[in-house]
Amino acid sequence: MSKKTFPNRKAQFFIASAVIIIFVVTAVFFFVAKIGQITNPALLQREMSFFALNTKEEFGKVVEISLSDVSRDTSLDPNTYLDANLSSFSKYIQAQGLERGIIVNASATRVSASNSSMNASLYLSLFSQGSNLETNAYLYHAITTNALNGTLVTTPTCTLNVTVKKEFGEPITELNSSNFVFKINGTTCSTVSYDERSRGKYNATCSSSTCPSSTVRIEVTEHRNIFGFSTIPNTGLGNGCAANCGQPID
Amino acid sequence: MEITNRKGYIRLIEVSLAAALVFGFLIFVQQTQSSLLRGSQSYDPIVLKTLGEDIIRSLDLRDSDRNFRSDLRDYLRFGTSCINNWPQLTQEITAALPENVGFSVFLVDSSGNSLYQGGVATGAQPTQREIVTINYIVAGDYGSYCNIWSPCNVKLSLWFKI
Repeated sequence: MSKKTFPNRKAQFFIASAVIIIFVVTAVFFFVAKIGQITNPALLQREMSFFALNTKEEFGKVVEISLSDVSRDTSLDPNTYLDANLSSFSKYIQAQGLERGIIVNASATRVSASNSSMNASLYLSLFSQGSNLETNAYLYHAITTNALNGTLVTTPTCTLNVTVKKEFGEPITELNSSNFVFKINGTTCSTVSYDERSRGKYNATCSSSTCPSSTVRIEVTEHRNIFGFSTIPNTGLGNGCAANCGQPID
Repeated sequence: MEITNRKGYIRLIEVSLAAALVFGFLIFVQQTQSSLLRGSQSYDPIVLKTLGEDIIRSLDLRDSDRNFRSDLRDYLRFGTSCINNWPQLTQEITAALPENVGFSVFLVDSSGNSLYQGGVATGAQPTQREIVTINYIVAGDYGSYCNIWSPCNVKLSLWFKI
């Protein structure tokens, strides 16, 4: 290579530098591009949000099932039972998260628990490949059964009004005779009818001659299999207590 | 204007050429990377994922027989007085999916065992296709098929046939 052809050889340093830079950039580019193919962030975010939604709802189901079990079996301690179930399900969720490549921190805490109401709070944190998702939920299930005023007389029939509500006072509708048990002094009434007169308000009628001066109890097992009951201690004389026997109708 | 230092002038031209070469290459890389990333982030898996999630979720929201339990939970439920109904679930998924999408559905028990329940049989799934899996946790239902002590997981695998 003559000096005539390339009069300034030193300047060729810039060309050589440019070629080296190109090699370096090429190597980095293909490395980064390959990583991009593996991760697919859109898919990961979908997975995380769907998992979070699914988890929150199923934690709610755990509380619902716990209340169902405790309401029907009074030998179970509501606090212990709910704590055990929440803890068990949290572990399951953590394992499920790891199978999906998601680190899960699920903290479900009991707020209150009884045979007719359960209340828990949930904090859920998901982390995967640089993406983070945090969410909270309030898990609450309840049943409230109130046997209200009725006509506890022999003739024509023993009747009473019942309201059945769930969480936040929402009425439980579309219950039928299979959901109720009408008991007079502990004995189930065999000829009983139920009529939903307005949303969540039922009129129960039993043909029984033992109604007056008896304790009348109405039991409800609603659609979620949660059990509740209400009792009217009949202290009336003669025809028993009538319209003012139970609690005032709301 | 007279050029007094010809060598310096040529050097400047060479620097400009080198800079143009580097910048040109960077622009080329940037454009190629965009198209490559578009290619690598194929929408197929996202479409399949969305499709599968929607199917499972809608089955868990729907209550055709108005028994206050979702259709999905009805199909999974089994115990002493009721039986599970995987064929019906398979039928529902088949009806909801486009014809060019294949699927297999599994029950993953609390021990992590994946049990085939419907769709394309295990081993017959395509090996050259990208398979997207949707997992849906089911906490249980009053101690029947799987309960709070042994929750289960419905796994739906989807792929494009063509």
